[in-house]
Amino acid sequence: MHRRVAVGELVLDFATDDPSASAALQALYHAAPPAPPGGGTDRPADLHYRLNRRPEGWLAHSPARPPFGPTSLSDAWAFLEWRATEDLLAAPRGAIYLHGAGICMGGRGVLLIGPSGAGKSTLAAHLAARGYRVWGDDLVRFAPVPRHFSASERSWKLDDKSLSDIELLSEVCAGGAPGTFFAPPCWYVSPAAIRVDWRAEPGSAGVVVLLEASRHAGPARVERTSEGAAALEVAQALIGADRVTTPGERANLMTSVLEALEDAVAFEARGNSPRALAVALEEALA
Amino acid sequence: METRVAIENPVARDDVVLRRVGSEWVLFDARADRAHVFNLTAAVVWTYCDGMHGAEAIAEAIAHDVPGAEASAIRTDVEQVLRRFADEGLLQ
Repeated sequence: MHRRVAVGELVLDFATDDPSASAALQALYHAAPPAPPGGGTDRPADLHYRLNRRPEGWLAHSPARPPFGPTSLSDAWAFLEWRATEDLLAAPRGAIYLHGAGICMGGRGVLLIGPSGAGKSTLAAHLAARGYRVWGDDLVRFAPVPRHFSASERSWKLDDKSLSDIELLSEVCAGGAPGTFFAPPCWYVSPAAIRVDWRAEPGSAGVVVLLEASRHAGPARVERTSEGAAALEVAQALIGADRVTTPGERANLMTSVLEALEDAVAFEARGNSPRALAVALEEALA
Repeated sequence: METRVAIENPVARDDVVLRRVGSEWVLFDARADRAHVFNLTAAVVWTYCDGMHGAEAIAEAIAHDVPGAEASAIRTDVEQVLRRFADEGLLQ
C-alpha cells in the first residue's frame, strides 16, 4: 500500500506492507494533497518512507538512515513523521520554513513566534478552534520571491495540556477522525481533520506575536512591542536559511522577510490561560 | 581617527539593506549577518550618508523637512546616530 503526497516542491511516498497500518499511513502528512502526475506519468517520489511489520514489531525506514525498530506502531509512526519533516526542511531544493505558527485573523496574517514550549501550538489550536484559518502551528512556509507566508501541511503535535481545554480538538481526537494519530504523549492532528477549509491564503504578515514560556503567568495580556525587534525574531526563526550562503543571497532573503513584514505590528503575549490569551489577542486586533 | 573622519563625511556601505517594518526601520548587514533596529530619524540620517553631508548638513536637511525642528537641537541626535552607524561598521 502506497500513498504519495506533494509537500511544497517535493513528492513524498509513504508505504506499508501491512493493511492494518493503513490508517497510520493516511495520517502521515494527512493534509498534503496527492502528488500530481507529471507529463502523463507519475512523477517519481523524492523521498520514500516505509512502515513494515515484522514478528518482533514495526520497522520504520527512511532515506539515508538505518531502520528504526522493531518497536510499537506509534513509535515507528512518530519516527517517520519526524524524519519526513527533517528531510523536508533539509532538502536542497526544499522551501524555506518559519519555525512558528501562522493564523489568518480578520484578513491579517498573524505569526506566533517563540521557542519550543512557548505555547505556539496551543494558542494556534485555540484560534483554529475559534474558526480562523491557519498556515500552521509550528511550521509556516515562506516564499522569498512573492514575499509571502503560506500553509504547511504538517500535522499539529498537541499534548494533553494543549487538548484539555479545547473542546473541538478533543472531539476530533476522541472520535479518531481520519488524519489524527495518537503517538504517546502527543496527538498528531491533521489540520484537515479539524476543518476542510483549514488553509489560510498566502500573504504577508500583518501581526507578529512574541511568546515565551516564562511569561505565561497571571492574567492574559497582549501588549505592543518593537516591530523591528519582532522582525528580527522572525528572521531568526527561518529554517533553511542556512542554505543561503553568500552575503548577497542573505541580503535578498532578509529583504524579502522585512518586506513581508513591512506593515506589521508586534505584540508580546503572556498569561496562564491559552483560551484567555486567544480572546485577548482577538480584542487587541479588533 | 578613522571613525571620526567617517562621521564627519559619512558614506553608507552600499551592501547594507534598509527596510521599514511597522513604525521602525531595520538595517541589515549581510556581510556581518547582523541586523539593527532604528527609528525613523536614524533611517533618514542613513539616507543622507552619501559622502556629501556632514552631521551639521544632515541636521539642517532634516530640520528643513520637518516643520518646527531646529537644526541646532537635532544636531546632537544626528551625531549620536552617526556614531552608532560607525561603531556598528555600517559606514564605508
